Amino acid sequence: MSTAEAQAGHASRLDSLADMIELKDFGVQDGGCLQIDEGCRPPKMAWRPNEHTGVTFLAQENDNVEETRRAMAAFHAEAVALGEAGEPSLDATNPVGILDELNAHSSEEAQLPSATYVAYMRRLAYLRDEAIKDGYILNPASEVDFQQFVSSAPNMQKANLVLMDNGNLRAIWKDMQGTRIGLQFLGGRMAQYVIFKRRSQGLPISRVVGRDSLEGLERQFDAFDLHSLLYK
Amino acid sequence: MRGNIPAGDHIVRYVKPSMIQDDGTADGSDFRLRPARPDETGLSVNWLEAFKPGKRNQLDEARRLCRLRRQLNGRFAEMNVGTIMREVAEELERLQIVHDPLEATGEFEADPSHAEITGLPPGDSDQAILVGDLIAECVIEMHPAVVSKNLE
Repeated sequence: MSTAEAQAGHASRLDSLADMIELKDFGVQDGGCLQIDEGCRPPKMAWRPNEHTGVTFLAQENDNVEETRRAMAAFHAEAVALGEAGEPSLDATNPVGILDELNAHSSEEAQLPSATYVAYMRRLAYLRDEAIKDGYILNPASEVDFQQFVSSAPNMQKANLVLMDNGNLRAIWKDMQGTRIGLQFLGGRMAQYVIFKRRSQGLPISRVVGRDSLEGLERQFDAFDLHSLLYK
Repeated sequence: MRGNIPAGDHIVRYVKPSMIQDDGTADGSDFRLRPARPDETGLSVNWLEAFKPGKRNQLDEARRLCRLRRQLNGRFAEMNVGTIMREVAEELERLQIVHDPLEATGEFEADPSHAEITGLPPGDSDQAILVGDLIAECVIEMHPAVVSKNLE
């Protein structure tokens, strides 16, 4: 194709591009590719999207990438758990447990790190046994909420976990400076939070207690600057 | 006679295994009234100084007279009375720790160390879990609730 033809927008000699299957480096990967449609005369260049729906983010310099990835992972895990995999088993006496079942069907990105996952599995089995000894059972709705919360961010620190006498799970993160957060998973995607926050040495600890949706908890974490306590 | 326990003295409370955190500390959820027991007026504790001096003797007596079903992996959480009163006062002024000795019954000896933490909010309230966490922060040591004779 001559310079003059190109400047005129003439594309009748695109045959030379027929061997080019994909064009990349447009900042998008796996979303589709440019292809030559040989069926037309003259041949035309067309964008053909991929059939699968997976998206990979390439803009690593973007400050919001981690947040976006976290949100996408949470959404994807939830969609997989509630959609493709069907309803998780809610049998609290099931030794496999809801955490195991959901994690097995979660996307690779949303799965808990294996060491954390194994630690939670062991702890839940222990608490489940203790509950039976004490004559009550672990609330399955609380367990589902706990699992969805901790798997919503793979970089979340492992929490201490206890079982309250109402059958609900309570997760606690704390540091050596007196900052702590306790979350009781109430079921129905609601949690009761208790936050102790030492804003600076020498000042009294700020304390707050309340209830919020799992999604709304993020606002509490922001208000008390708890991200370094919760995330690696 | 129900009187306040002196601020310098110590109490222990049995914490069942499911309410002991992974790191071995007591969780605040154990230091609240049970929502399923609306008749409860206080949390049962044992006043160590009700027994003859010596921490080991005091703990042994508390274990011997405890009427709760204890498990091997349960623990007695030890706290200083004055510390609890001071820490919790910021959130709850009516809290008291009162001596409440138990008389002997058919199957149990009298327990002169029994005491109660009273004035707590209803167990299912948000304030209850906040106060519970404050009390849990006052725990100075966790002791085995059951001591194997073979280990003594």
